[in-house]
Amino acid sequence: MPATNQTEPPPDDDLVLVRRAQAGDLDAFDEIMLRHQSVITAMLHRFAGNRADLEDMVQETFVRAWRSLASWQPDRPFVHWLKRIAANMGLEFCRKHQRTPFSRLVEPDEKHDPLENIADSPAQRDLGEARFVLSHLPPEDRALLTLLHLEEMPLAEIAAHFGWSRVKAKVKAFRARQRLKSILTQHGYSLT
Amino acid sequence: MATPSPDLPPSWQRLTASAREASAPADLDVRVAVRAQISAMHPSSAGTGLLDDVLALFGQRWLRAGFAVLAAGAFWSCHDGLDILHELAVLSQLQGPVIQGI
Repeated sequence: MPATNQTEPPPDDDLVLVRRAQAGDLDAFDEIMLRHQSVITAMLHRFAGNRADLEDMVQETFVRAWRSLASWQPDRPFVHWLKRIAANMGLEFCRKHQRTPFSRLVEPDEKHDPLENIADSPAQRDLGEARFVLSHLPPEDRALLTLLHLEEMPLAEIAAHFGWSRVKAKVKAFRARQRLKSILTQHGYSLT
Repeated sequence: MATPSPDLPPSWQRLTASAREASAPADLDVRVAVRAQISAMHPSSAGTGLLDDVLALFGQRWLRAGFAVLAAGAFWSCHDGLDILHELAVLSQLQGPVIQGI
């Protein structure tokens, strides 16, 4: 189930907690984490194949959120702001795990990570396969298409998260799809 | 599944549709780890706050004026001291010939 379809609490509920957290109340921030960590985990799960990486990314997202809590403005829902931090964590992850000429040596481990503790269901295997195909793209294309194809995030929202204009996002998405097409052909996939 | 038929090439759209069904680990809870990390950050931020206070203090005019007075006093003390040292050095140079003459 895509994370975007999950029920999000109304922003007003967050406002009270965020105000308390901004004043240094850790219990309020704990409540915020309890509310949103499933959404953030579901989103970052599209990027990270193994549990350790996923846990690190979710943790770092909330730590960064705490650090920059003062910069949040209540004109937009808090969860959107949190997703922006998570999206940039995903982009950072793609940059760190960029495919190199030596990546061929570790290819089998990337597809079926031994640290993955979730039951190896067909959906999990397909997610692993999709991640593997996307990992052949440059980091920005990989992050963009992960959010677009696996998270089903609207392009306008992706553009806002990465600080791109809508036109730039459209151009980037077009080019990323072109690159993906050639990679899919190499791996024996059809686009449709 | 991504491969419904062995005759057709696997479809990317079907693969991603299936991949979207994959659920994230439900038992993942980072709250304790995040709290620990945030709590560990606090002492360093307190230290930075103290440093900021000290730096702000050095920006005060009265303190800078005080330091300037101290520096001027130290200069004049050293200046006088140098004269005395100079006289002592001359005397020590004369001491040899004077003693020899006696």
